[in-house]
Amino acid sequence: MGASGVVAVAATVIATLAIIGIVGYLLDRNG
Amino acid sequence: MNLAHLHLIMNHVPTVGSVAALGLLLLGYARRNEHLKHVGLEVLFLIALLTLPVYVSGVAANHELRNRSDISIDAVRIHQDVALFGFSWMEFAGFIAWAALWQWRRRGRAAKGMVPAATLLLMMALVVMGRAANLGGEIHHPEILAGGTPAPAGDPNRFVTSAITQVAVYSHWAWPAAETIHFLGLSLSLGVLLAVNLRILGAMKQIPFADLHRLLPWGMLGFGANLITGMFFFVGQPAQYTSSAPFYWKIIFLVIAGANFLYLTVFGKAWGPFDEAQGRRSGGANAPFHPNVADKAMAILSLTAWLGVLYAGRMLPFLGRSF
Repeated sequence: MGASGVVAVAATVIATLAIIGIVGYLLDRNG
Repeated sequence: MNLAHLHLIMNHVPTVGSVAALGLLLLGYARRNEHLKHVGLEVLFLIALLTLPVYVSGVAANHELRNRSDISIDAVRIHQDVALFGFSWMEFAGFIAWAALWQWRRRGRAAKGMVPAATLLLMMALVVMGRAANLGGEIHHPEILAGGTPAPAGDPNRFVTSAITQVAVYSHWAWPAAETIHFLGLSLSLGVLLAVNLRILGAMKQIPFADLHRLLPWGMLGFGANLITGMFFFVGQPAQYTSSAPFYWKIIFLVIAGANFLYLTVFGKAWGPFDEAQGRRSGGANAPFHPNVADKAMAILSLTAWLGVLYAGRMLPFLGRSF
C-alpha cells in the first residue's frame, strides 16, 4: 500500500469517526 | 444438519418476525397504545439481530449448493443480492428502534419521528425481505416461478455481492480501512459494555449508574460500525468465513452480546425507570442502585459473550484451515 492508500485509510477512518461522533452527540443530547 | 438446512429453518425469522413487529407497531398506532409500540420496537430489534445468522447461513448454504447441477447459481446469487439489501434495511430499522427505546428509557418517550421512522424502515425491510424470501423459494421450487423458467444467466459481475468482493480483493486500502474501523468499533463497544456491566457487578460504586448508562449509544454505534465492516469482510471473502468454525462461534456470541444491549435498554428496574407522574427517573440519577440476580447474570453473560467474540474473531486465521 502506497502513500495514497495510507491517506485513503486515514480519510475513511476519520470520516467514520466523524459520523459516529455526530450521531453519538445527537443521541446523547436527545437522550 | 448442514448449514443449508439451518438456513431453511431460520429463513422465515426475518419475514414472519417483521410482520409480528409491524403488527404490534400498527396496533399501537390504531389503539394509541404506547406500550404496544414499545413491545413492537423490542421485537423489531430482536428480529434485526437474528437476521444476521439468517444471512450468514444463507451465504454458507450458497457455498454448499453451488456445485449442484439441479440448482441455478444465478437464482441463488440474485436471492443473495436482494437478501443483502433486505438485511441492510432491517439493521437500519433495528438501530432506529433501539435508539427510540433508549430515549424512551431515558426521557419517558422517544424523540418525535423516531417510532414512525422505525415503522417505515421496517415496512421497507419487510418488502425487500419478502422479495428475497420469494426469490429464495424459487431456487429449488421451479413450480412457483411465474414464467416457469429460472432467471436468465448473464454477466456474473452484475451482482452487488460480486462488486463488493471486487473492492475487497483488489482495492489496496478498503480492507485495511475496514479492519481499522472494526478495531475502533470493538474498542468502543467493548469499552462501554465493560464499564456498564462491571458497574452492575459491583465495581466503581462511586459512579452513579445512570451516568454510565448514558454511554450506551456510543457502544451501540461501535457495534454498528463493526456490523458494517464485518459484513464487508464476510461479503467480500465469504468462502474464508463459511468454512471457519470460529466464525460461527463469533456469530453466536455476537447475537448474545447484541441482546445484552436490549436488556440494558429496556429491563432492569434497579436503575429507576422513567416516572411519568414525577417527570423524571424514579429516585433520580443518584438513586441507590440495587441490581438483582438477573441483572448480574446478564452482566456476566454479556462479558463472557464479548470475550467469546474477541477470542473467536482473533483466532479466525489460526483455528481451522480456511484462512
